[in-house]
Amino acid sequence: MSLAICEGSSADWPKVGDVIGPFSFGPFDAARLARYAAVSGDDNPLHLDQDVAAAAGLDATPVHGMLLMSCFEPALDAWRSDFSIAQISAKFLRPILAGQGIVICGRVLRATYDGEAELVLRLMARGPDGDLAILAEAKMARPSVGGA
Amino acid sequence: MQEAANSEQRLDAAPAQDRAPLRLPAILVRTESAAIAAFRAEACVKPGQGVPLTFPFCWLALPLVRSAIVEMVGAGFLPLHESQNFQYGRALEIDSDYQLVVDLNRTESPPRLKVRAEVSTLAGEPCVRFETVLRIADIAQAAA
Repeated sequence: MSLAICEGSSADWPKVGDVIGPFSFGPFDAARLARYAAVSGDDNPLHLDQDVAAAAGLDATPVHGMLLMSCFEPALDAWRSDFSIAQISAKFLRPILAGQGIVICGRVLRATYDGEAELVLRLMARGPDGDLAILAEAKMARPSVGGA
Repeated sequence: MQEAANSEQRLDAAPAQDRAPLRLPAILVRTESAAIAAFRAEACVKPGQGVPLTFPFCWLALPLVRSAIVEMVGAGFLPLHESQNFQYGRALEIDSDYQLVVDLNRTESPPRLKVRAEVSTLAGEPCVRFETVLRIADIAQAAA
C-alpha cells in the first residue's frame, strides 16, 4: 500500500486552523519504561537508573523520547483515521519523567486539496505542568489501496 | 613571561574536529510478527495489526549499529535524544524482509551525533527514512 495525498473529495478535507485533540497518554511508570526498553532495545541507563538520571540533573528517570513520539500515531488516527502519517519531525524540548503523562494537541497548519495536495499539522505534547515537551510537525496522506 | 606565553598557547588548543561520516554495511532486517506484537504492547499504537510508525527505530539497537553509536558517543558521555524524524514512502509489512542502511555523522560545537537510516525492500524500493539527532552530554559536567 503506498501513500498518496490527493484521494477523496475536498469537502472532507481538513481546513487550516482545525484543532486536533487533546489526547492524553500515560502516565508512564518506571515499570513501563523497563518493558519499553526491553522490546525496543533502547536500554540507555538514563531511562532506567535513578542514579544516572540524578547525575544528569533529573529528579527521576525520563520517559524515552521514542515512547512519547509513538503516541502521535494513535492521536492522529483518533483525529482522522482516513489519513496516515507520511512524515513526522519532532524536537524533544523537555523531559517527561517516570510517573508523568502527556497531552497531545495540535492544529492544521496547511491544507490544500487543489493542485499540489498538502496536509501539514503542528503538534505539541505537553507535560503535567503544561510545559511543552515535544514540538512536532506531521505531513499526512491518504493511503491509496492497491495504488502505485 | 615565556612561561605565561606557553601557558596561553596550551589553552588555545585546536577545537575538537568533526569526525568523518561513517556508513555501515547494509543490514538485513525483518518485521517479525512476535517482535511487532511485543512492541505494540508497550508503545502507544493505533488500532490494528500493522507495523507501528516508530518501530524502525528499534533497529538502531542491532549490534552493528549500537556498537557504532556507542563508539562515536564515547565513554563517559551520555546520548540525549534531541530530535527525530520519519519519512514514509510506503508502509512496512509484517513478517517481511528489508534492507537497512545507516550513516553516522558526529559533529562538534556542540557535540552531536546524527544517525540517518534508510529502510528499503530487498528490490531496493525505499520505504522509510529516519533521522535521529543525539546531543552528546559529558556526564561529569552534568553532575557538577
